[in-house]
Amino acid sequence: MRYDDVELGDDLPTEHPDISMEKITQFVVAANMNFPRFTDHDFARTEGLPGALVPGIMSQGLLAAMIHRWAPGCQVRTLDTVFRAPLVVGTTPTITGAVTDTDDDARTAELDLTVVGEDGRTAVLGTAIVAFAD
Amino acid sequence: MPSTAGRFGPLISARLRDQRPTNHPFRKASVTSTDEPDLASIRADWVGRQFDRTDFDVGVDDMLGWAEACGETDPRFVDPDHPDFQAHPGFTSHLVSSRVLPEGFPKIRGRGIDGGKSVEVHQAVRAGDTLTGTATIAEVYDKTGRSGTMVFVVQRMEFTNQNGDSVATVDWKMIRNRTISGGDGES
Repeated sequence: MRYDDVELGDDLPTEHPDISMEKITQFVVAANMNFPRFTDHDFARTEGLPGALVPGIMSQGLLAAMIHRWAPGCQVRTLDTVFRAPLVVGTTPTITGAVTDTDDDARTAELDLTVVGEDGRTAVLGTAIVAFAD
Repeated sequence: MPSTAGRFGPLISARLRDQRPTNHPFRKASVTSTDEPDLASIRADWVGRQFDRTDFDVGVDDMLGWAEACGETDPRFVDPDHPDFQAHPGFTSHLVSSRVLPEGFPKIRGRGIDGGKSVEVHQAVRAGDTLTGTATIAEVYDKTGRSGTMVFVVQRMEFTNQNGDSVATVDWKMIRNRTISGGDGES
């Protein structure tokens, strides 16, 4: 995707990222946040949660990876996320993006982003500003 | 790095949906507190105040693990031999200050919720960088809706690298969720 090909309202290709326990474990080690609420379903349930949870900032990473596939070589300038509901490890979420604004001078696009759990609830809402490689 | 999960755990928001009913027994106790300064004075005293400075070494294994776990396929983020190898855009969002809030910051009543993080990337973070994060209180404000009032405290981390270049700004919205106090027909 090049900037000149971007249209307001374009949807990014929807993805269903892998949030298996293996991936979450890899993430929490890299992010130095290896807490059992992220890696142990039984422990998380004792905290009143529906199961081990995907860290909110990992959702940012899933969204960024989707953006990089959509516009290879782009730079994500800002990524703003609101954590709305739990996303349980081992489920199948759906992540989406749509172009909500463009800036011809800066050659950037603004995106609305969502992470929706397999129960249909929106787990994360976000926006991003992306600068295109060409 | 200290755990902040107990105080403003990243996933306490899991319980945001379960707003306490207006007749919840804990509610009355919470509205009788009178020792909390108003938000205007908290803002005047604390917004803009820098309260922490922490250094972080950026290692290639963490950069790779982060990007791979997130399903990244762009070689700039998953191939350390790529000439433009760099950390994933949100990477700095996990680098937390040694204190979450300044020493002496007023206790704001209400249930702690993680409202989310916003990352602004100014420059790529590279393997081997040493980042310095300085923490300030960026904003204090409240919003009132159907279920009550939520107080937002925004902690801002400004990251510079070993050359003094600004690389990222991370805003962390910490929420105290509470009910509206006084005169609302509570029995």
